[in-house]
Amino acid sequence: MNLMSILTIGWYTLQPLLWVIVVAVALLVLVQLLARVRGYYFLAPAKIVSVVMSFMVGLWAMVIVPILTDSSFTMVATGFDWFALTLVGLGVGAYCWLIVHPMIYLFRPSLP
Amino acid sequence: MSSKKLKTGASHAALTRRDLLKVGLGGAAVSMTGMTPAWSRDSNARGHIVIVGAGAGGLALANRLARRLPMAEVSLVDSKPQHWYQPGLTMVASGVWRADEVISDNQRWVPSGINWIQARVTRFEAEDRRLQLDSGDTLNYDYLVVATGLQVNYEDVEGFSADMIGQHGIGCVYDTPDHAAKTNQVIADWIDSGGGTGLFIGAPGAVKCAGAPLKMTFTTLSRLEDTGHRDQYDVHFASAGDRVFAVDFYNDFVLQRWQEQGVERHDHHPLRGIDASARRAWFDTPDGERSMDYDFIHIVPPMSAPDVVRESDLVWTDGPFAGNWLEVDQYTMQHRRYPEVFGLGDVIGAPINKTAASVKAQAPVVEENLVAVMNDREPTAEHNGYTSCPLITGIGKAMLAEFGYGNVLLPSFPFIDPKDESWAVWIMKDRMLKPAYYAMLDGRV
Repeated sequence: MNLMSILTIGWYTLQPLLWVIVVAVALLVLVQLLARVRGYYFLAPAKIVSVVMSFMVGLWAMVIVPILTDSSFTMVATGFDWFALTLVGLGVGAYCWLIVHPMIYLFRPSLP
Repeated sequence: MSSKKLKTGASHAALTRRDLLKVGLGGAAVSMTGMTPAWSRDSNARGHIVIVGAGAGGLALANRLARRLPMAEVSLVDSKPQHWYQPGLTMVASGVWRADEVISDNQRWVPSGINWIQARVTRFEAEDRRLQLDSGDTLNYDYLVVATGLQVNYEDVEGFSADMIGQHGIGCVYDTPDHAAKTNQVIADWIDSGGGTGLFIGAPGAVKCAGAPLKMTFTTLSRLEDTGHRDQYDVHFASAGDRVFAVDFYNDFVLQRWQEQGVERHDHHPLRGIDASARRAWFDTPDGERSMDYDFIHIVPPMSAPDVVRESDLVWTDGPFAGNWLEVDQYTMQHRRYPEVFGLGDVIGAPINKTAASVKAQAPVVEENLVAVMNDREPTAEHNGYTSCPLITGIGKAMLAEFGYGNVLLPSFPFIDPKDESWAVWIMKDRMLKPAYYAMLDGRV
């Protein structure tokens, strides 16, 4: 399978999810821009709640994604299943952190 | 006989936004890798190629040839306005997908630059390299690709006809999204009735997606188990022989699993007929005729090449496929008596190979060998019999069975064990294979 094949399959796979991807990217860009205008930077100190919340959302994603795929958590069986599901959890958790971390910075009691 | 010459010139429609996007992606891909992909290789071969059938095989090849042979004239003959993603019919019949999720317009997949003749072939005249169409027109060709798909012979089951599907507790996943949706409904009705007997029929011979009868049994078992009253339902499976799958491992796995799930098996029970109103089925067993009553039955009728192929000179004349399937060399896909004719997809007579995955593997072989013949070379590309069945073993899990001639396992992914039930394989079936199929129709896979 060449690169063109992969790109074509990827295009057809993502087509039904395009609106989700667009909304997610727009939200990310908006929050990051707003926060950076007000002095936020990537490793700005923030409350531990951003990490805890992202971790919890990642775990929640690992439970909910099998259901969203017409399956269930109990069907996750093989090593590759767990690898794929872990990647989903990490991805969702990382995305959540990229949203929550600057938002906590924005809404902290006193801006610098 | 009408000798009216059909317009076969290329119709160069304006590029669509989709075309432009793909051209852009392709250009980027090529410039990034520096590779020259197979689909971009030019050929100056000329001649009139007619592809009969705008199903998976016909469309995949049409798209490949439209890029590969800019100097040739390509015609696609089929009257169907819609394209059905048939690998999704089991998902529809299992209540996982809606029927409209497997339907698209055929026009979407027909490449610009080829001539789509919306008619049916009524006669193949192989000696004269000519086709008769139901429009009364005659179509001459230099090269022919038969990709008609197959026909489901409902009438070969006594007392059964296609219009019974969805009534009298009769289901049949094959052939149309409507049949699959009605099958889902009769299964739901049976489950809602609170109990009774479900009778699943195995493949009576060569059928498309020979795993479908197993998948229907497994997904229905999942639905029955979800009621919490599995013990109120009897589930039977009747096989024409003593196997349910060609590959030993999967055959043994299914039989073992069904034993654990309380499925009662009946070997050497080829279905002869049904009495729909009495909900009774008859079997011709080695011990004589036997009948079984049911509340729900999933029927798998015998299948063959379409009658127009069976009645032509192109059909096998001897051997196990005689009179029923298109005669081709199972490796080169070239007709064994008419070298300018090739076969592709469900219509061919081969030991296995009636799946979309087979089409994916066959289309490049037909493309290469057709171009070779057009350039007066010997066809050297060979199909290894690759076929694939994401064997759904319950709603939410599946095994990826990939094998070829001789039932040799041909796994594509080193990270997926073909002998394990997996959620990831289910996702492939549920979310990934339709995009891969559409990419195949585009001639990109």
